[in-house]
Amino acid sequence: MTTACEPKSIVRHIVTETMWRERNTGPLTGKTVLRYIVAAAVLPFFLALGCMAQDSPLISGAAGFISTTSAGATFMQPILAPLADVPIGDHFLFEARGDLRGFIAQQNGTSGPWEGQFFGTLDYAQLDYLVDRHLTVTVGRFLTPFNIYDERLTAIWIRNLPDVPLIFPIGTRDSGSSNGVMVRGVAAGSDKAELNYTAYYSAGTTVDQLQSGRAAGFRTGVFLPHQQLEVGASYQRYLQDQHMNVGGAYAWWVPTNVPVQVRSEYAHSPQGHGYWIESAFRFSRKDQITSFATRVQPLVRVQQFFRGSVPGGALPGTDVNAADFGVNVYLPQEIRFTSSYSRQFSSSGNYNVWNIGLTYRFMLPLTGGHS
Amino acid sequence: MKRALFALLLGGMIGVAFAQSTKPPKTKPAAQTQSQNNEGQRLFEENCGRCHHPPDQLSPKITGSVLRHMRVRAMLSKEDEQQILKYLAP
Repeated sequence: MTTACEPKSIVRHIVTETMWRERNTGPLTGKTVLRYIVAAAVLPFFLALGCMAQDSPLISGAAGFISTTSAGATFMQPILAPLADVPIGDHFLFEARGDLRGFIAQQNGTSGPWEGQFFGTLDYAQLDYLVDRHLTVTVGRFLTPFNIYDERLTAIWIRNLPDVPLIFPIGTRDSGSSNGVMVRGVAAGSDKAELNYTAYYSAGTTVDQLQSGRAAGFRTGVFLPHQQLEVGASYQRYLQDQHMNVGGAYAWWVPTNVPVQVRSEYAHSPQGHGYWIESAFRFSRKDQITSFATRVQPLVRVQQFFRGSVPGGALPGTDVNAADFGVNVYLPQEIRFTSSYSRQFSSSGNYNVWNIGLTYRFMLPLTGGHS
Repeated sequence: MKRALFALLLGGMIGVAFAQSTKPPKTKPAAQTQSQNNEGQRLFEENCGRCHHPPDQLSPKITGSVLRHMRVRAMLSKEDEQQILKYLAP
């Protein structure tokens, strides 16, 4: 009988993010490569449109390498996450982000030859029509706006901890992306507060690299700019296979006058529910301390997951409590050293997860543009 | 024991956050005034700063494209975009 603490099982089950990619996208195949070639052929069209705009299209993103040791089993992930932004005219923006990731581990978790598989996913490829602050219409493939971690922190050069939260698959489902249409904007706002909304419909898609579930949902939030406090709630009706209601809530407090950030989210579905709360500390230059101190960011995250009555896909199979501790060092030239230690407690066994890695963020203009 | 550990961590984080928030800002009055006058910087910190710090370097050629991206993500107005543009690419 395999337990969650056996290295092979850990490698297969614990890394949530790698799990989706393995299950939902599969290794790169000839068909996949062909799709990338077609995408590469279509991109110049958008670039040509972008050249008519005042602003230069850009290629951004990050390259990274993360080594993880989970319950004694080590695996490594080289990552390339390119992002393209192509403004078209005054009101349109085409943007896309991909994720090419390797998963290199020993055959039996802690012994045997090293083996590697590579996965490619298209996180989003969307065309935005910015009417005004109150309405933006998006069509294509977009990050599912359930709570706000998926939209804002999944980029490897932004997220504070290498591992996504345990509850992340709730609401974002298997791929983290949706194919369909989304509207968003500020419903009402002033200098002191704003009420924002996002609503979307996603069609079910089974095509490799473009998978999504059929679902509809919305998110609404209140943002207080002076307090830097943001709270909101999400709802989703999952319409594919087993219909179910999924709900979530979030509260972020990222003040500008103190070097602390507190972020938290809660999510509930028939597959399980849980929460995470993360606190990070980083001084800014205006705090008038040494340059080195502004580059170091210690952080801590606690999270709990409670298994539901329905099998939960990429969610843990048992109740899990976890505490994560991390230190990020922001080096010059957009290089970041990242490290973390996590202690996970579950009914199938307790174990440690260590992460260490580097990310490099790049940002390049594609054409001349105007300066 | 585990619950006590979680309670301790949660309490510690929240306590530290509120303790920090009660301290006065460390910026000098002159610098603070300058910051207050810089509408673009304020808008950047309030909107973009919710998720990330400003990049070390940003080519003026692509600043507009970056801000178009941020308009979608942070639901900024055209006027906000112009103010932040002045801050990032003066």
